[in-house]
Amino acid sequence: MASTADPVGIHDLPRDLLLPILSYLSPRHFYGTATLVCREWRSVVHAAFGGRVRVAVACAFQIEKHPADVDDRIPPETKWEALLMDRIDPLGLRRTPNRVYVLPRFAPLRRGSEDRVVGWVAGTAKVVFSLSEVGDLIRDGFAATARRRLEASNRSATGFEPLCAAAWLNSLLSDHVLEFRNIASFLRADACPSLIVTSADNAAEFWELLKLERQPSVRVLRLHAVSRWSGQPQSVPLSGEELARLRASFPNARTVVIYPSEKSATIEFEEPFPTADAESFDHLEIRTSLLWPAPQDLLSTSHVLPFLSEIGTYQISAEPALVPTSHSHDGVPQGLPQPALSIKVLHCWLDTRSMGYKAPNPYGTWIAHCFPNLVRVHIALSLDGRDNSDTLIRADTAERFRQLLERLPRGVRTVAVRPSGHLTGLVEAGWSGYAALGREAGVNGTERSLRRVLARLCAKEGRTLLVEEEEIFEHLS
Amino acid sequence: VDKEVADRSVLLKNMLEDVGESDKPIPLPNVTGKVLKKVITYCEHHRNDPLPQPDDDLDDTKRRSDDIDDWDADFIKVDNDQLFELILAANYMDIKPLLDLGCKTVANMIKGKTPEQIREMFNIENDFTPEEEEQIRKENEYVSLPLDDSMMLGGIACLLYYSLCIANQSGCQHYHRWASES
Repeated sequence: MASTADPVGIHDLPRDLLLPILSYLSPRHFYGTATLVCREWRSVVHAAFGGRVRVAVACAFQIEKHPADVDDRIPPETKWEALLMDRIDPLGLRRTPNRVYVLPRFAPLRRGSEDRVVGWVAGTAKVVFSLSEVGDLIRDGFAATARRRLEASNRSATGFEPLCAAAWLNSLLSDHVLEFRNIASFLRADACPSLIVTSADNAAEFWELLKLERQPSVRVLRLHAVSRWSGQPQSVPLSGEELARLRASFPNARTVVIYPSEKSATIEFEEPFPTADAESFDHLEIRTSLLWPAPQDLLSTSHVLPFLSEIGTYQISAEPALVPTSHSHDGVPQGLPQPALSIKVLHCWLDTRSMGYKAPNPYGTWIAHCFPNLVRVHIALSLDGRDNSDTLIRADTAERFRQLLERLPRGVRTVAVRPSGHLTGLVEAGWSGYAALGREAGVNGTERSLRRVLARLCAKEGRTLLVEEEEIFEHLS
Repeated sequence: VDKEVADRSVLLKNMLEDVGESDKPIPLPNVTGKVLKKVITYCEHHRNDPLPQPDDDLDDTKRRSDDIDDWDADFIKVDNDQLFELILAANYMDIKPLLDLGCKTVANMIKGKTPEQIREMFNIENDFTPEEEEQIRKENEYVSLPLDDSMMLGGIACLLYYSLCIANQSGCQHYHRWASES
């Protein structure tokens, strides 16, 4: 990089400062534009990610824009190196490096493009492959083909990362990709996933299937609910006995995430876990839209799993289940169980679409009491732009958010919010509630930015807001 | 400068803890007086902010540059020279929020620019050979050519096509008129 007559310029910044600057760019600018500026910038980008990421983002971008033409635009397979897409998290692997997420809604590829994709998969190491819910690309021969390609390229089949880091079991089932009874062996023998995702539709059946054979490659077990679930109420048993069986089937799983299906599903959550399993899990996350599990239940879990550092999720608006037995005059809940000191990260859910206004919100007080050592809270903020007539709900939600912030333990420095639902619709239709709160927070009432409003609220409490985008392509377009 | 303000700088905080109570000036050889004054302004404004925690860096993958508040945005409206001096000073004095602010600002300046515009803005020499640049552009064509651009090119092509058609049609009419007249 050449220096000029300027006293100080970007070329005077040390290399370790250039990367932080460039890393604020969107993937397209980071991988595309920055590499073209000069050798120094190019080397910084490549050093950061090993040069393995350059085409992927654009490809996803084009998949979104032109799904029908995507296979015409896929680069030759030699150019397919790896895909890194930030802020897409359909499978909850946000922190996995060099990951690939291709959301089902951006699929499917046209028939005939499988071969190219298989070639690409064979050329990559860590792949999360969930391309299509129709299962076009996860055929019974898919994994085997990719594996053969890999072996043909002199890469040891035993020496590479699992071919599919995650398997979306529904894809396997749909279109009768695999015989149901063969799924467990397929996963063990071919796919070797480190993460298993399924929906509650078949959760109980999968559960039994998966336990038929040991699945040592599985490090994360995630039972995933789908919103369109329409079957009969289903139970995912998680008694002590079940957990013991779970451990036997998944000896290397240290994370268990369970998403019960909406409304009808229940989980038989029995205490205690076997003592032998208490140290086995780092992370237990149970997501539900029901009133269950109440904080007491999760708190009990954290006591019997003393090494847990991360726990969730509560439905915040489910206040009736959260109200402690009594309050003292200063508002401190009484009759609460012993706090869980090991928990550092809490996942919870703030639903804007239910409940009327209630104040004060005891939830934050609950959290502060139950998990005094929290450093981070992740809040899934459900928004529904279609619910546009009742702006009170918006104000109510924002008010709840504010009250929650006020009451969180002081150690919580980071509040990560992940808006879900129709944010665009919200902005268009039901913004007035947030705008009112925005004025209170010192934001221009016409400022239509959820992020700014929440950031202001967080800043007032001395906390950092991280907005976890649901919509990846916002920053690509 | 009172201690609360000085403590915004991890460098100064550590030095103050090392030397204890003292009236001796602390040398900051890498920071000019003008920049230091600006840094102090920043630290005074943010004197009551919580200090950055190690946990704050956990989510580097989700970094955003559009969350600069109004005061900071106004504060950082300086010329490029001073901006980079501020970044260097923040880095040297270990004032992470100021460093982040500087980095975000530079990133915001870069966003939406072409490589050529970035070079021009920051006086960066293009040290790629034409062959190298062409190769990189080829490698990155799916990244560096936004869809909108390709659409625009397509649009231009369409315009040209229609222009030709119109010209042709017009020409035909002229021809027919000329033919019929003659």
